[in-house]
Amino acid sequence: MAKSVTQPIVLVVDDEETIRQAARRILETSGYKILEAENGVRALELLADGTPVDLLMADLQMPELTGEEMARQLRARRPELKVLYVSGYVDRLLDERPILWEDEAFLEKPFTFDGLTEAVSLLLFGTVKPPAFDV
Amino acid sequence: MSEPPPREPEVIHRFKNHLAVMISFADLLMLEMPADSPHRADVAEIHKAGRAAMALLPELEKLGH
Repeated sequence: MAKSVTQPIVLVVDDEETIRQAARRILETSGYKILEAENGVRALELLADGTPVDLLMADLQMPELTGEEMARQLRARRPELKVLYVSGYVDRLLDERPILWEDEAFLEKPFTFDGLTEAVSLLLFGTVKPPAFDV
Repeated sequence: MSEPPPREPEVIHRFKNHLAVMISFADLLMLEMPADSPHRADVAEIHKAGRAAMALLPELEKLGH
């Protein structure tokens, strides 16, 4: 029998509410627990108290704090945090940083159900289909 | 004074966000609705149009350069 793992927690950070809703619905349908933040500052506040998170899904282009800067600050505190950049500006990120760090990946908008679930599972488990989760 | 119109990359960025929402929710509906739902073919058309618009994005981006 396949081994089950603890239900992973994904923090979705995007300034577009409908994008957060779409990501939440897709990832909850796939068994993940979801936290949301509407910008990078709020995400930093949310995680300041030690709230557990396994993966950060980050929009790149946000007011106040870019997704990349938010991820840099969060990973300075939590080096084990995996980061999925989701943006329509992926070319810009790759121009600046042709090589992503370990435990980072990107997904271009517009994403699909399969595209998002596979990208999250690959980062967390190294496979396109996640194992069963203990809820 | 009125705000200047959004620049082309910003327009495309917004367009991609709208498409992501449209395709994602169509995906979810297809997944969750019964196989014999009378609305299935309609949702499939929305999904197909979203995918077709997605395929046009590289051409749209070229127009701005």
